[in-house]
Amino acid sequence: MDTNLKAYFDGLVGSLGKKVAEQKTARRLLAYETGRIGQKLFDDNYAHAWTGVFVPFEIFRAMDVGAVFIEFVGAMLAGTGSSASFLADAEGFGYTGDGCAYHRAMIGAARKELLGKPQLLIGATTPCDGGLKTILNVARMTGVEPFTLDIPYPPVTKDKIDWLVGQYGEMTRYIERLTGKKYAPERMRESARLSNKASAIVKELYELCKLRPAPITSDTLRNFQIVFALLMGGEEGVDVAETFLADTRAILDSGAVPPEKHRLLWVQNRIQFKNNIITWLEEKYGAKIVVDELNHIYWDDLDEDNPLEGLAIRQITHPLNGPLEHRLAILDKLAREYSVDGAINPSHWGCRQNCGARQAMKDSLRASGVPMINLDVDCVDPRNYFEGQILTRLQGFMEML
Amino acid sequence: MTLEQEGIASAGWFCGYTPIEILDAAGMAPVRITGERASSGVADSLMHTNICPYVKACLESAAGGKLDFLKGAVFTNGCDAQRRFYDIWRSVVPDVPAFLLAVPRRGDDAGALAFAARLAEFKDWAEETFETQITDDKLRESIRAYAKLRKALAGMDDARESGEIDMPGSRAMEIYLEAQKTPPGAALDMLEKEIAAAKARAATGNAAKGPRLLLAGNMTDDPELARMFESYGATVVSDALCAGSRFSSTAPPDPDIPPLKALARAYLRKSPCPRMVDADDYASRLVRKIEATKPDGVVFHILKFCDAHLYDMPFIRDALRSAGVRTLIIEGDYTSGSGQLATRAQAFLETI
Ligand code: SF4
Ligand code: SF4
Repeated sequence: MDTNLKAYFDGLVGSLGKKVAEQKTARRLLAYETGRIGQKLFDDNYAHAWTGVFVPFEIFRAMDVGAVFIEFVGAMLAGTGSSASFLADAEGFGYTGDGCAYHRAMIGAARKELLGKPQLLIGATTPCDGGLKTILNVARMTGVEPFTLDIPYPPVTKDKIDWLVGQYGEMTRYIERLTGKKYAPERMRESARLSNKASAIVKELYELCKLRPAPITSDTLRNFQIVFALLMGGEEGVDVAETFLADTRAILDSGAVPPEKHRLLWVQNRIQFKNNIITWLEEKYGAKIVVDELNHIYWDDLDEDNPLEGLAIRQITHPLNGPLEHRLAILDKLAREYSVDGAINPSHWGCRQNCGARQAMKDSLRASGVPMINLDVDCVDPRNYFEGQILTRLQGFMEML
Repeated sequence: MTLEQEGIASAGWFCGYTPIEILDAAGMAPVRITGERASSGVADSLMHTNICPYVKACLESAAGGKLDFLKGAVFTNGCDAQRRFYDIWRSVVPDVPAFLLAVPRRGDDAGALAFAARLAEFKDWAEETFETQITDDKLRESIRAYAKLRKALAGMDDARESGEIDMPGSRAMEIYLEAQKTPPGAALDMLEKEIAAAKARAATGNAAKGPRLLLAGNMTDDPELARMFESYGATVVSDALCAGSRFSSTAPPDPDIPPLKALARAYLRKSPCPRMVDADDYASRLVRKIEATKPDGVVFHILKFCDAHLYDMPFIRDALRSAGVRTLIIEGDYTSGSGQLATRAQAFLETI
């Protein structure tokens, strides 16, 4: 990929748009809508925001802000096989090679002005230190004023909700000030309604994945919810959710459910560059990833009359926010509800919050009878990826199941 | 004799954003925990090789039973590594109760209000864990004691920088560490004696005359590092370290407002580490300090895998360069130096 990302998104949307018109499949539609989000970064009808990964996109939707989280950029560059040069650029500049490559790729991309210039930069203190640092560093590089959400930890208390809701208010005023867009409560109410609608459909979809065998392949819901979050609060989100549900039901009705011998849980993010691990697992062991940790609707419906409060609770209780106990409980619940035999944690190099937790996650899942393997890969940086070694370790793991 | 040997009940703390006045008011000696320099590999098996070596070194001590004497331990969310340390502590040292204090990043009134609410939870935990009542009077007394200690430490720093006292940076680091591991009254006594001795040394006119250095970094707490530079004729005259001048930079909490609110404000407004501010803010404060201290060079010693610092380093480096300050950047692993480090230190000193 060169410096013309706009052309890339235009091309993607053009070709996928045609395909979607011919036949609307779930993955196709998700890719198409994701491309359209990318286009919004260059569309004058939208304000352009680069953000942290778990921020409330419903608010942006209600204000016509086209937003992507910065890790999306790292994942996209890795997915298109072009992350290495951006990573090398950031390292050459002195950016630590021991940090998260999602962030390093973003710094390289910002240095090469790959994404143009945002109008808004909105970071959060969760899920990791590096994410916020990256937003602030990009702010410095682009001269754009940043806004930071300071996210309290669980348990939820009234004062924490009030504090975060107050910050959402400041954030909307920041957006208004920098872009001229207006926050309108009725638009927010609509955004909350659509978010609830999409969540309800996605919950149904996840319920189907609990069936044995699950009517999906390991890649059907790859990176799903983390990207889907960008569509929350809009009609597109509902459309994508409905298409996924319809496709999955159709597979179930047709009786052509992909077979499975082993059911697996994938912890945190997928490996973003091309690799053969999933195909190998499916073909050699009949193993299927039936649930990703981050594909999980853990929050209650937003109150349409008071949506910001629900968003605050959602953000405070995010499994990667705060101490580990909440995350361990969710992992355990997912493992039980999806009846998995084992779990894979890529243990993305440079992700402190994950790497620091990996032994605790392993112990906790093992106590529930679910073994977990840590792969020790960098999910965004293909330069040190040796597939043979990973497969050898996975082989031992799969044979033990 | 250590507090443990003297039978003084102690509570451990790690991050400079822990208002230790609350522990002191609970009748505990607040002890800043520093870790084992030699690794047995236990901590690596519990966390990951790419986690902050300071945290790993403390975990090593904890896993080896060396912190069992603590009556409690207070962690913060100062960084991902410390947050995870809290999680793991609870399975490694289940008998030493742990508290995770969530420190806001915002230093404004809203941030201080939120922090005061967390401090109230911290106080409740301390009362329950140490079976005591922390009255406002006790808290105010502890606040006064630490304010006095911090003022004296800051005074020591000023006197070092001006040459009024002759105290090598390595000794100052030791004093700072001792002050953070000793109850405030005893720490102040120790400090006053040290300052008097350093004044007497200055009067002899034999103070080192080599290059003056400022030592910056994160949880760089090893006096051997300063000693190494001193062994080549340099003097470490000031620092920007978590366990150094950042400890004494907390201004006296306002006595006219409720103590927890006063503590919340004072801590959020102390000299910030990169966790609290962006690279420009941090760098400009450092440049101001450099202008005031006029060192001949800055040595940045950053523990590896510290995202808060390392993500900002290219920008801080550029800011120091633009300010015309010679800078040596070292990534450390919490062990006491190496031959390669000594060579780099010598080469750096030759350029200034
Ligand atoms: S992988 Fe970890 S360090 Fe990287 S963005 Fe995600 S949570 Fe942060
Ligand atoms: S040195 Fe950095 S990573 Fe280590 S405890 Fe301090 S802030 Fe955290």
